[in-house]
Amino acid sequence: MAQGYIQISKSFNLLDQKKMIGFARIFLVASTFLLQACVGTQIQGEEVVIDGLTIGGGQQSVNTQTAPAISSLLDQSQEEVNAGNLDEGARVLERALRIEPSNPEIWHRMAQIKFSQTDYAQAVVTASRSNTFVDNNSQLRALNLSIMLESYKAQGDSVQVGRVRAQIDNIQQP
Amino acid sequence: MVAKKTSKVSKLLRSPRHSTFLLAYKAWLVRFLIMLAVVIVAAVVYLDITIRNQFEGGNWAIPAHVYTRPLDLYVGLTIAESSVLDELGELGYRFQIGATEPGTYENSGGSLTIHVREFQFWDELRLSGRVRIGFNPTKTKIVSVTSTSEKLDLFQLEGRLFGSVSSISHEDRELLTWDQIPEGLVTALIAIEDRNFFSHWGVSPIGILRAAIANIVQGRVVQGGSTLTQQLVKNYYLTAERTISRKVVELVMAVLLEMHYSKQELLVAYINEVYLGQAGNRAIHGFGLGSQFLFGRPLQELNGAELATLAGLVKGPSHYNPLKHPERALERRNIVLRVMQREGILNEVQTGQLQQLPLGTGRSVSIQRRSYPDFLDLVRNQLGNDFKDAALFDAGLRVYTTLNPRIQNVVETVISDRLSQIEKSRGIQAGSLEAAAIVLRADNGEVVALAGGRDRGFAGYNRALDAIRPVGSLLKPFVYLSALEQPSAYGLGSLIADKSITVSQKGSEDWIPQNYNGEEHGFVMLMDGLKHSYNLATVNLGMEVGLDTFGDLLKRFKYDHEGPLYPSALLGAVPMTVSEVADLYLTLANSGFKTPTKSVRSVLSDGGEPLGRYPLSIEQVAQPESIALIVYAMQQVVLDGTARAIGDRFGRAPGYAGKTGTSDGYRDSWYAGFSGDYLMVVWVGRDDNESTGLSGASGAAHIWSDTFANISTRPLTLTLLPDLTFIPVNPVTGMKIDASCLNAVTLPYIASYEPASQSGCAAGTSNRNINNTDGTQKKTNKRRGVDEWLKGIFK
Repeated sequence: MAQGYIQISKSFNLLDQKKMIGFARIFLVASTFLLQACVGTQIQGEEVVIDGLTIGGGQQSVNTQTAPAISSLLDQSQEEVNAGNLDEGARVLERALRIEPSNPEIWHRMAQIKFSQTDYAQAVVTASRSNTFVDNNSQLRALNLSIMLESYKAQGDSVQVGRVRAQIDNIQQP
Repeated sequence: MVAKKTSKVSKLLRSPRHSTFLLAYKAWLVRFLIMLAVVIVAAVVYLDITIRNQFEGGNWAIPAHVYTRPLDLYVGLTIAESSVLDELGELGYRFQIGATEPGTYENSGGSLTIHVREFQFWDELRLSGRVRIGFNPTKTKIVSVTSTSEKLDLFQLEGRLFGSVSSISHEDRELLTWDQIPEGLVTALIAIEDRNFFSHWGVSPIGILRAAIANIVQGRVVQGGSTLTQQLVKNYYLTAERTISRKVVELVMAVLLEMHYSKQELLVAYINEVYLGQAGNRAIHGFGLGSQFLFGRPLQELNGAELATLAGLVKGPSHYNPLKHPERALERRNIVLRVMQREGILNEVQTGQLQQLPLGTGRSVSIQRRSYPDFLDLVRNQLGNDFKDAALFDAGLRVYTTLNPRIQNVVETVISDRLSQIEKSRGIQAGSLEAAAIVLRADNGEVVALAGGRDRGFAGYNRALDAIRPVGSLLKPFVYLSALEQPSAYGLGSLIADKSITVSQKGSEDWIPQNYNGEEHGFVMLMDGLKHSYNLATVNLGMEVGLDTFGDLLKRFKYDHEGPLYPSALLGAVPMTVSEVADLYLTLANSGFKTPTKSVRSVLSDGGEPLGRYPLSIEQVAQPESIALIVYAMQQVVLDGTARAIGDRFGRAPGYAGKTGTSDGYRDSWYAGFSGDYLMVVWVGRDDNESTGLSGASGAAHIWSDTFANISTRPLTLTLLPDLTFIPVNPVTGMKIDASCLNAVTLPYIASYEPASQSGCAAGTSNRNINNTDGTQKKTNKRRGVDEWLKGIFK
């Protein structure tokens, strides 16, 4: 039974600040988007560009059905992330997933954290998991695909980059 | 006479010969006395060093303490109030009007007030306090969670300490500090065991004399006369042998202890050290764990009578064991209470009141003693993989597991009841059947329950982890999946031959498999081959797809087999444990995302510092669309196939998917299936590997359905993935037909891999031979409605 056991040291030195800045663009854009999404607001008119993919530009309704417990855990996770405690942020998301395992937004946030931790394999797979729970919410699907795209780029996997880019193009031109 | 004698001695002494002898004798005596003194001093110094080292050097080996999962309570959670009360009961919470003390609750109307205890969680020390949980009018859903000061979004009820894991020692204890020890225990203990404790210096000559007289009068040992300090020395440093030399060492050590340590320190040590009973091979030491073990509650929450019971237990932990000999324990407790009255600690009224109280260790608290040894085996395995240093097991770690006691209890009860029922109804010898089961969360691989046999709470052969048995048809979904992963060649409506096949094998005889009923069914839809568990259809399909392809898929999904698979593997002639089957099925239940199964979430040090945790880790090993197809077919197994009894039981709701399995000669009866949140694998068979006469459907499937009927579970709903589409298919030709055709069966397909169309509704012709057209046509009128409704499964 192979286990991904992690030892905790007192100082959570898991965040490489320099790398973080490098990934800031996608991470911050996505975070902003999702933060808004999770509190159930309507995103007005702003145009967001992630790696050539344009999202927004009109009035878009996003998921507003988040339970208070989940909102609370997402906030708590975000606070940990903001404080640089990415692993703790992921742990809080795991707790949220135990409550709502099919919530694509929680999976998406997990993908963000894994990406920030430069754990690209897990970033891809959690973003992909998020997409299995997205009905027609192309916005979240696109965000997940963009995390996958950036992860594959970081891994230097040009085949997958091409494949994901094609999927993103399909969303843009349905 | 005396003078004479004296003069004789004087003469002797004066004689030169004797004077030399005397001098030598004196010198020898002096030397001897000096040496004796040195030896004694050395011995005392040695004993002194020994006691101080042990006493001060973090001396107790404390096993890792293992906790059940915490229970999340939050607004919107569907949970019966009775389930929360069960959880509180297992945690040893008591009903109390006003819930004024920690460890109590009050429920009235639709609200439940819990006065929670202090508890160290992974990320915080939760302090004791009151929380109010509001339920809806039917008491099935939480509508509000509030603390005394604020509205809460969610709240965690702590897990229960249910067992321990140690490296070698079987001693178990929960350490207490002076502040955690109730005064009532100290006074009771001193009154009954050593009333001069605060005035003596380690030994009590009067006590020894009194005991000696009593023993002589009785002609046997009736009184110990040992002080608490001596008892501590005996328990702590010495063996149980009764010799003079040991007694001397004990006395010396007791005095030394008293010289170095305060009465308070000695009492704390005594209270943590004393042996109080046996639970299996686990020796219960100290009043902290003793209280949990006997009363299911922390020591601080016990009343005066319960504390007196514990104090009385010291004299003979097995003789006065309240669980085995409640009358003796009650009598002993009342003696302790009378002694306390005599010593002026209790007045007559108080004594009378306390003596009226029940023992408090009866059936109602038996659930708090449940130790789930089978699950502990799993915990031990997982920790053993990651904690290579065995010493860590004795460092008082806190291990937070994934065990859900509500589900564990259901599984244990169901196995016990159902096996007895099957034996009775089928005339099978009582007690000859055995079973093993595992229940996991489908989404993250957390094991929530595990049973290694039918005897609950019995630590023995763990069949769920160690019994390796042929799995029969449980591998069929993977044969079909290996075909469905080639969507250009196979869909659920593809026709496959359920016809005899002879498989040639190098170096061994030809293999000629047969269907269970010996019949052939001609060409059948791929979905129906799985639904009815046809052997011939499966072997034909498997050989067509290729054994290597099938083997690769099993490897991807977790099953690490060595060397090539034999064709008989297609029909499950592969031995596996219950937990290995669960590994394979977990990926099916989780849309093709593989995740390691786990029984431990996190580990804390003795001091509450986080040591490590097992984060979520997933890997995509199959496309969700292919998995959706096979899961759809497995839903048909439950609704209309070999496990239709389960479908009937649950009102033909499509919320479950599964597969039956039966090994050759009805030796092993299997069922593996899942809902929206839980996966359970069940095996039923005999330890001597004889036939049980049970198929998967008539044995293991019953245990599965009894379990799911008694736990709170979400139905399986498949997300309609963008790449999936529904196509009306002619079941005889396997071709797409118009949806208005009465014989149309609507099946999910991966978009862009739709089957070829045929014109009209008739059976027509296909690239396969057609059998039994009339029969199929009759069925389809009835089936169409079902198919439309099945389509609604997808949301």
